[in-house]
Amino acid sequence: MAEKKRRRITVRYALHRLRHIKASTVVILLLLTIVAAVSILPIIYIISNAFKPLSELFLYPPRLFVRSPTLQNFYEFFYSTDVSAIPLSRYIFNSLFVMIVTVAMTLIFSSACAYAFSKMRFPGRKWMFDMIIIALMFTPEAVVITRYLIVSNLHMINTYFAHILPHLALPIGVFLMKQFIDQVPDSLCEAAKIDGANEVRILLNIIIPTVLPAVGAVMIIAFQNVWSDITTSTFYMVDESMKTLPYFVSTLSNALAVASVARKGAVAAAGLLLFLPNFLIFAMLQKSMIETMVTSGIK
Amino acid sequence: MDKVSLRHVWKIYPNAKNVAPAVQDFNLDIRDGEFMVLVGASGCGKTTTLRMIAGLESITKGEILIDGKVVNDLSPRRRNIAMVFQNYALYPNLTLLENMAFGLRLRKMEKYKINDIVSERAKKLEIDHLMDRLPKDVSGGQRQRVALGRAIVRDPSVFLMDEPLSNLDAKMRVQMRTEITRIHRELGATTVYVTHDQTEAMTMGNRIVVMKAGLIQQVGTPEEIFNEPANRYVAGFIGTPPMNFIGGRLIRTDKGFAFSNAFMLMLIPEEKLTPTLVKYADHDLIGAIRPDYMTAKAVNGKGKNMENGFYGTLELSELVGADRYLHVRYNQQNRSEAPVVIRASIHDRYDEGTRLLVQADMNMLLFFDINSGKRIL
Repeated sequence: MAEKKRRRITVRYALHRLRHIKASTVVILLLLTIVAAVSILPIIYIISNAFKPLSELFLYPPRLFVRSPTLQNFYEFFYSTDVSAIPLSRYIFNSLFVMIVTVAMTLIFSSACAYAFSKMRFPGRKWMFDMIIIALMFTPEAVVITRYLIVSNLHMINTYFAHILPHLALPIGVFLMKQFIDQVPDSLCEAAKIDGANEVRILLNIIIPTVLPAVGAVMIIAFQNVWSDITTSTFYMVDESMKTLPYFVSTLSNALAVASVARKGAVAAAGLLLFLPNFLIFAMLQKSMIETMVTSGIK
Repeated sequence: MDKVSLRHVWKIYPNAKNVAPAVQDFNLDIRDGEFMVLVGASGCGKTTTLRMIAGLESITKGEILIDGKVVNDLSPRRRNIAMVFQNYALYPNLTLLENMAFGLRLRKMEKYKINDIVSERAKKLEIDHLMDRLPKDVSGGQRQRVALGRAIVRDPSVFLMDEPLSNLDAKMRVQMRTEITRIHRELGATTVYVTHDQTEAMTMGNRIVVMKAGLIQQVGTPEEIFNEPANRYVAGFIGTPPMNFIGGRLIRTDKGFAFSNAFMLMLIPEEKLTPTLVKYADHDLIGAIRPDYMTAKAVNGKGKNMENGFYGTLELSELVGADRYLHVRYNQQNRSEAPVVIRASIHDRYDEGTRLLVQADMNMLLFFDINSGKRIL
């Protein structure tokens, strides 16, 4: 009864609001709807492509939605490694292992580093932070040679270190976390200090829980960096067994020229599988990501 | 035994060049169980002093002792202190219970003991029904109680409080003032309390330290500070409305010594004449009297009054509850001089512009040196 009544009130309220909507609001809503529709198209395309039978995949003009869905592409993808010596599970393990370790360690390093920059006074503090900001300006492509030399000279070629270590220094992560930790009042840390906490405990028990949005954002950034990374597998890995899933998928699509057209279906299925974790992580953390963008004033 | 001692403590900020030190040669002994209030205008160094005791600020020179031990190089957690912050500084992610228990858990106390002591102290503060909530879900006054609770669960040597009431509204402030006093009496814990509010200082402190520009102006009980201020600054800082200062000269008359200027001649009672005061005969000095020790009545007089008073014009009449503050101007020529303020009763209603005869209780008149500002009598 009460439920019904409440619903009636909400409906009436919604109608009431609709009646008082302004013309400008209508225009804005319309534009937003168009933008949203356009940006969701690729996602729909990825999903529906994965389920298209071969006949539809090569249809011209292409269709957005699948007519007669099939799981054929997935079978094909999972059996595509039959011809090579490395099972698909190895690529998946490599990807997951590298991703989890990298994201976890990036969080540790970024937050510890940001905490020190934000709450401690030490010589060279400003200078070092400026260096991190400058590092933000370089694209990975600009430093690819130096990075290769470092990785090679440290004898990390063909090891998991080469997968993980270069990703750990995440200037944007340090910067984001620092912006957030700056907002935490100093007295909070001082109260914890007087209560008997050391710096590690202050960071873990007090700082991290209060800057969770930034933690979410850094997680997304770190994840995307490492999950979609093909260059590491291409440049630093010698053995096929050390390479990651995205690399394997890219070889599938590159093989298009020499191998059969049938691979096209496997690539479509792999595309969906690679995209899913991205989607899930973002769906889980999107609230904190948006919060971060709004409050830190950067994108 | 002295619980806390500060010996020749200085604080000089290295980057603040050409600025006076934040704290200069601070000497103070705080007795066991004492409620010591540091009071002064903002920027006078009172908070810096407190933070040096806490260990949150390094000591440039001198030493601080807690329980007879030099603590200069000890970190805050090894000094056995508890602190209440102005903005409460509650951990936003922890429930009130966990906020209060945080320090105990870090000290590896047994769980059942923690629960016992936290719930007992929470009951004492009347917040035991809120312990499952987060800080953001309770009111400002309740947050303040939790901050207080977090300090008192630990039985520290010294409580440090940094303007704990200044974020509360006026009514809550008065309530928490008595609350803190009550808890201090119950626990008998040594407390150092920083405030800029002289009412808090007067009502709460066993002793008060008045500071200005990093220097101690006076240390004393509330009565001493109020009745025997060491200098003009203390006299003007403590008391609402503030003390009246009147420029004049100590002269000899045939009836004895008198304080006089162009508008008044006030005979000084025989018993108040100390040798130090007599030395100021025929010198300029500053007479001072609290608004509470003067009376005013409507009299149409002019010129120089000889009956320990003066004539003046009522410039402003402020009604403050049961009291009425009368602002009386005796010198119409010098508008830059502040008018004399008298605390009268609500019934003493005069129109603005009325001529008043103001009479002072001569036993309550104080004198200050015109140059050094030190009290003569």
